[in-house]
Amino acid sequence: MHEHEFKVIYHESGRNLYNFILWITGNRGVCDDILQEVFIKIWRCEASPPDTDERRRWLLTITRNACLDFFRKSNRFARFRTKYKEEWYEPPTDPDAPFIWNELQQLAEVERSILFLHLKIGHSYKEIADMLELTENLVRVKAFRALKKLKETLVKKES
Amino acid sequence: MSYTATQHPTEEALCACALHECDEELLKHIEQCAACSEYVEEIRTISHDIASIEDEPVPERLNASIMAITRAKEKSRVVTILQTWYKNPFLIGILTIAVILLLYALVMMIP
Repeated sequence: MHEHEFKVIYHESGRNLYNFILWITGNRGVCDDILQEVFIKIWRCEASPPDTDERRRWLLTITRNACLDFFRKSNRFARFRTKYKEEWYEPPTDPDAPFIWNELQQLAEVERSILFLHLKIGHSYKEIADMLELTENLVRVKAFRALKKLKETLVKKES
Repeated sequence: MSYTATQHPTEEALCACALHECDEELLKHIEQCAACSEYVEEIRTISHDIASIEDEPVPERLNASIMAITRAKEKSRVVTILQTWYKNPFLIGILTIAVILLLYALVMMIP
């Protein structure tokens, strides 16, 4: 890949990918490592990157796989994350977010990914299904279950 | 499917409706049913809260270290060429021809 292409990709998608990783992992230290890893992979990629829309999907798929690989390889982090949930999940810098953020961290990784991709990035269920290698219907069901869980916890907390 | 005051849509259908996947029939029922309308509103509020979580900027030091990836790769390309030149058949060919020509020149120079 050419240096110029690499820089364009980073300026277009760096922030998006950083936040996607933060949503999946919930920890900024790990987020830094994974984002670097992702861009090393992109830089080493021999082929030219795909065009705009396809590129976004390509990047998000690489990023999610890098997150899953990270936890698969480093049991130490995975154990720490399970054992010390409170310390692991760092709240976002947005002062209004912690309330919903804490509840989001209780969801499964795949549910968080789906909510991020659908509600924040605006991908359709079909596109998400392609990225996550699931069926469109399963993505829809998971999104529904995630929102239902959030609704139930928030209602419980309010009452 | 027709909905009545006692026959409500499934939660999944209501959730889909809150996320803009709604048909006429369902929309009509939601307008008339307080319970379903409240459900849809709650899901919409949650989705809105999620969507409005502000994206964080990439830390400056991380920006710098990612930009340094390209420089590191350039350096490592040079190092790799220097370390593995003898494995390159093209270079070996050129060197062999150069040695042959040199030897030929030396032989020709001997009186």
